[in-house]
Amino acid sequence: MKASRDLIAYNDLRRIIIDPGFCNLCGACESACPVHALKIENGRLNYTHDCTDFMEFCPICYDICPFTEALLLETLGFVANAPNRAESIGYYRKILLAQAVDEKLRDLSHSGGVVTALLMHAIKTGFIDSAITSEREKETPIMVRPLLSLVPDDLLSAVDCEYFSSSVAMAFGRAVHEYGKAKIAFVGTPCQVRAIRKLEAWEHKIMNSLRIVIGLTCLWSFSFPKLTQFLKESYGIEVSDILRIDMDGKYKVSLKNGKLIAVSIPEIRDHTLSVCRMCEDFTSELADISVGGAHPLRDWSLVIIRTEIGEEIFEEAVKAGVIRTRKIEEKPNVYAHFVRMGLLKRKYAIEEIERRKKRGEPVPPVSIRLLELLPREISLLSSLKAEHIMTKNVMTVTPETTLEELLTIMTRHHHMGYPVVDDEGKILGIVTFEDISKVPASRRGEVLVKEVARKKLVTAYPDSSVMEIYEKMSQYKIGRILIVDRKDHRKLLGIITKTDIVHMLRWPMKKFDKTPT
Amino acid sequence: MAIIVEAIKHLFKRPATLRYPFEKEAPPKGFRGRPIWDMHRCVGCGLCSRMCPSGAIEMIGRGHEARIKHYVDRCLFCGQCSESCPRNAIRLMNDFEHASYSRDSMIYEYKRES
Amino acid sequence: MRLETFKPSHSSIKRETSKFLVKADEQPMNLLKWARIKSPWILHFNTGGCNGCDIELLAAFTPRFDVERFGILLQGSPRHADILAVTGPVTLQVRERLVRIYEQMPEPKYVLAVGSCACSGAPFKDCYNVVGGVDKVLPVDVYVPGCPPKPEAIIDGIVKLIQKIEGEEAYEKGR
Repeated sequence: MKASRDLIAYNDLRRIIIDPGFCNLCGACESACPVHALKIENGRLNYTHDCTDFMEFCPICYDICPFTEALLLETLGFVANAPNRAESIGYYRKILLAQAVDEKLRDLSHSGGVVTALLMHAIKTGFIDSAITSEREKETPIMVRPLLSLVPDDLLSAVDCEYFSSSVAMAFGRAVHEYGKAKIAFVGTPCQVRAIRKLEAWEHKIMNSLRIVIGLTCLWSFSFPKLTQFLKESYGIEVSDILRIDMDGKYKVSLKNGKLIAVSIPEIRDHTLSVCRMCEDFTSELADISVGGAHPLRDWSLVIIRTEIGEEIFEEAVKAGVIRTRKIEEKPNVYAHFVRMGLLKRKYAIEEIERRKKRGEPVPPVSIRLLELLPREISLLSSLKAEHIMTKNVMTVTPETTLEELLTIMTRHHHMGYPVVDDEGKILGIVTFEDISKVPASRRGEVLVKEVARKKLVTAYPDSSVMEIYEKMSQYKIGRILIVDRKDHRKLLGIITKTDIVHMLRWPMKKFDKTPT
Repeated sequence: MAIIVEAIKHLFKRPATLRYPFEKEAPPKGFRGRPIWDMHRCVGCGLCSRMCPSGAIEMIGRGHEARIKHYVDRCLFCGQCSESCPRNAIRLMNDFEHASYSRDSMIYEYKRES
Repeated sequence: MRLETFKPSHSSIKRETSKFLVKADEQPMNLLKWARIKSPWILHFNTGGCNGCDIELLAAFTPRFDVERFGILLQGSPRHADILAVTGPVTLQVRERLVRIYEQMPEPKYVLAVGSCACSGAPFKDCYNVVGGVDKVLPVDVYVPGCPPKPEAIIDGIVKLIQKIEGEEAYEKGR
């Protein structure tokens, strides 16, 4: 990808991120630059003066750009203390459903209103002194720009759902330098959250003012020129005519004159930012708290708490009575939909990366990591055997379990695949989340596991190396592999999931907890 | 008249002299003393060296192998280096006793321990 | 001789060894030396500085720090002084006046450079009208950096200077 780094990071940044069009204008580089050489103006990143006048060596803007490969391991360290980890959810402490008690907030945000209620309470109690969110622009309500909220009422104009990227990381830098705020809450999409975490991992001095990071769930952002052209050609409307967009299976576009247009996802997907197509982070895996819509419930949000400080501020809000919660186990179909969106985004990302690689087109360095391993990771995996890392107490299901019960089990334990065993403990097959998704929700109460389980199994022996197992899983595109006895192929010894291996690569020193949750 | 009252009042108070160097008093909080470099945080960007108004900082090498030489006899203790450092690798201590017989003993070198 | 080793390389003035200090065990010499240590008199001269160091030097004479405990008096004439306390980066215009004042001081004499400007010229080092540091003109005994140095730091410098003078005496005694 890149052989060696240039002494001045801006040269690498321009060559690898800006020229191929992978910049989403988050503004982290503007906040971090110690000589203020970068500025976001008129929808572009401008290089205002030659930074080599001041420095001969500076790694900053390349390292903290969310689309480069630098500092990724260190950013994981902020959330990796959490006891649990799951597919497409990331590291977490708790998952639950929540909504704001005040109905007005729920109406304003067209969803649970959790972020607004949480931040308003936090400002009132002095936990934070300001929050960085986004608000709508007056003439073009669909466009957003960053908003620094200093008093709770400012948060009422913070936007509910945004489909364009706003430069919140730049606003963070301004809040520290120009407003002098010292306890800031940051609300952003997964890439913006990643930029802030990279700044924190780099130990930049503006990060002393960060208090909490709230991440939103994001599928993609639109590219303003491409969307403008598409709407004008296909529907004859200008972007400034649009009042709001709702996502409900299709994109429901409400215009200022009252009309409603429905646009399907495949139609509109070509007009997103090119980096969004290769992004695998649906739930902001690096935030303190992640909040997303709990489809199909209208009034509730799904909240993922990842760190201790997120837990602290959330519990305080619940105790003060601003937020009410519900267990996620009560609504397994909400959880299923959520996980499916994340897996879908990841699937699209891998497809797009492979397509680009085949055509020789550039890919942002952070996405390459989805497909390739570093040489030292390969050698680490080759030196380990399956029996060292497999989970021995495997959770299994009987063939007579209904799919609805299985979904409840998945929601409670957050594992995505379970081997099906008979009464003697012999393996019959394996059933995963995808198998459930194929069956419509109405029939899930009747269909039994044995009807949908896969009988052809991909297995491995305890003494095979982990590298072989990883390659097998990549070849068959599966997420878990069963470890069976060499002599009796139906005897289950353990299970290894892809998340176990990836988790171990990223955090080889941490002994992860093998007890089933 | 008032001055005589003051004079008599002070006759019975203890002396106001701080008998330095036999009695020492800590400098106030935020006192700008000699800057020290935390080499684990230094990235070797050279901003402190370029921004120093009196050229009291010399950076030898670049990046992670950089070594810093600080000339206290030229230092103004202004704190501009600490302010410019993007990673807060420079802190100002609160010592002020730097008097010395020769200028060579007023040079401090910092390098990263490998 | 002993005194020559305290001369820095920059100085253009040669320190002459005082003929009085050759014999150390004679009673009158010790008395003079003892008087010099117990009560060194200072002449203060500003060679073009901002007056910050002058104010701090003056503050050392106020009752709070009271440098007169050491027997130090601030003199007006170089003929009466032991120590020349110089502040400010030496400007071109004042250079010859500084040298002249130094020459008017009776031996043995010592120079104390107070402030970063006097030590090295600090930010004015390469300016068009500045020599840059007292040691380019006179031989300096003690440097007190700071901008401005605290009165305690100046007293610390004076104490070190007195120790240096004592050290001379101890050396002389040992010979």
